[in-house]
Amino acid sequence: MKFNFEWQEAPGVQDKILAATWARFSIKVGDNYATEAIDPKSDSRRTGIYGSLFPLAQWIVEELVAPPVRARSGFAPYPGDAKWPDDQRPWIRRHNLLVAREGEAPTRI
Amino acid sequence: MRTRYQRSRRRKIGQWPKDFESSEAIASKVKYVGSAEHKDHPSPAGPPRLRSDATPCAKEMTIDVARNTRALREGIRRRCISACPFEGGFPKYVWTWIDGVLYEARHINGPQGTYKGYRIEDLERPDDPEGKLAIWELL
Repeated sequence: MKFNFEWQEAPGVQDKILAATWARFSIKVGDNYATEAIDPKSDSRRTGIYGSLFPLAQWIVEELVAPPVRARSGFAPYPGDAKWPDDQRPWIRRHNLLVAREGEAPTRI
Repeated sequence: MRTRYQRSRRRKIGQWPKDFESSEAIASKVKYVGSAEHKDHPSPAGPPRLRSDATPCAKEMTIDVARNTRALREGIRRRCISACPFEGGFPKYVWTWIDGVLYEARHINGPQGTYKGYRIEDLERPDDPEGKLAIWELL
């Protein structure tokens, strides 16, 4: 899995922290991009998404220093949008980038 | 002595800090403004600047911005705030219900007391040790 980012200007973004960490971001797994998106304006395919990397960085830092969490035996980690058992939230938060989006383009990985 | 690790305070509803104004006082100072990069129509955040890959806010969610501000203020009054340190005198994250859907509001690190907001999924729901959100949801 390869993560790639390029810093970008963020005209109009009011939040100073989000603006300072604005980037084009892509995740490549093998030959496929997990961040592939279709631009509806130009109807073209893009391999990266745009947004602030601050929430992602915050998530990485928080989870790197956290003690290990284990899934409950028999726990199915991807039941769609079902409600998550409270005791499994630490595990899924550790393993799902969606938690790091803060309202930005979703990356359900 | 070993320092006990504290799980992320960003995703936990915390206590109201003692050295700040009351939740009522802070609530009266905040407002929802949103962010223009998520709008494809004019809004209090300014002219629309929707990015091609940004999720557009539903128009009905920004037509009545006063309702969003009311919801934000109610979240603060009910102290559904993150356990993070306050940012410029305001809670960094606030959770609130709108029509049975849970939203997260984030303080904008710029104009003080202004927030943007977005719908969150169940896995993004914060830890709620005192059941503040759960009780409110049932009302």
